[in-house]
Amino acid sequence: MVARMAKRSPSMSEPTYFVLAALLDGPSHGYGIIKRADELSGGRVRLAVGTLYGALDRLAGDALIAVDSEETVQGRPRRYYRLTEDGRRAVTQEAARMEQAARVVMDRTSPAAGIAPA
Amino acid sequence: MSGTFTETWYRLCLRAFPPGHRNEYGAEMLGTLLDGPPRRTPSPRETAGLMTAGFIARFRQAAASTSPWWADGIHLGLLTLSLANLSYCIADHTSVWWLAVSTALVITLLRGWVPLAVPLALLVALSTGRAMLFGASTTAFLGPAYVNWVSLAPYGMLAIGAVALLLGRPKLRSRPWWWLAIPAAAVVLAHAPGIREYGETWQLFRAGTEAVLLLIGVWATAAARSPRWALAAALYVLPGAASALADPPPNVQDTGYWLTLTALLLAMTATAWRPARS
Repeated sequence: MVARMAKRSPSMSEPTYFVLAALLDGPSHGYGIIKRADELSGGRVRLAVGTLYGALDRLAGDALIAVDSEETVQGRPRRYYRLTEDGRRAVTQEAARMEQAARVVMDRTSPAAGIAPA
Repeated sequence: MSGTFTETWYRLCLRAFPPGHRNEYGAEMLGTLLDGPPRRTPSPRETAGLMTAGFIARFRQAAASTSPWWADGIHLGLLTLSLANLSYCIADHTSVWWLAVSTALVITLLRGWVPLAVPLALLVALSTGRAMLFGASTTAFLGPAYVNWVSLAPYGMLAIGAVALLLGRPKLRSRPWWWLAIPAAAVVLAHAPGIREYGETWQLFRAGTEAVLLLIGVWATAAARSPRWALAAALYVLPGAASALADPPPNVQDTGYWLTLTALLLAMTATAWRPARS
């Protein structure tokens, strides 16, 4: 019963999507991911640090990301995270799903389709 | 205020996370929090984010624990029933013997000591039901004795649940000591001057505590998508709701109270079966 609930997971949350998207260009550390997600979303997704590390922990648990390297900055550890193949596939599939969903609307509302918005 | 205060504040907020998560990410999170433009005061947004994410991490950890969900749910449900029983013992100023048995039941459940909790739960159920089961006299020494089956439902639930845990032999985790804040508050309410016995302050405390715990249950269920909290809530709410059905409340306020608890239980149950987003 519980296992069946887990398999029905429908889509990705927006913060998770932008965390994965931020890592498409290469490995990055926590603060870098926050800045990149903010840029990529046009300022819409402003990840709090607690939210980010909750997401990183889950994504690492699901093997969608992995630690790429680690350094020490001002006495504190700084880890760089990278997308795994599964992570790249997951974010690509989610992008395709959203593109298909957007097309359903755009094809019907664009001027070329001949249907003017009300 | 200074940067040192900001760092100390964030360190304190990180305690909202379970120890395992703190060990893995704590120092790194602190570094990320202090990256960027320096701040003299902590960010309210980051503070709220740390608290929220910390509790969500705790809920998810509880759902991923080695205890099966049904055992964890029964365990939590029995603990809340035993806490309610102890709080009412305190408010009723019952005998020391009855108070000792009720306290021991809470402690054994809190620590997950099922073999010790079972005889205590059976004792509580048999003692409260002695008038119905044996027609025994209702001496105050043995604690309260109820004369209808509906009032005995929570105690029957305690006994049956404890026996189920004994037979199932699941591995249970210890619960935090802060649960004892509930009977501690009952002591204050029962002995503070100017507070009427079972008056408005008591009713407000009871309804407020139940509502807050059930709302936390809905939140935990939404975060971890586990039915354990709904099962625990059902063990606590259903005996009372059955009592309200058998003996309808005398006023709109009491009816609203039971409807609210039942609605929160239903919300928790429905949330447990909704698919989660990653």
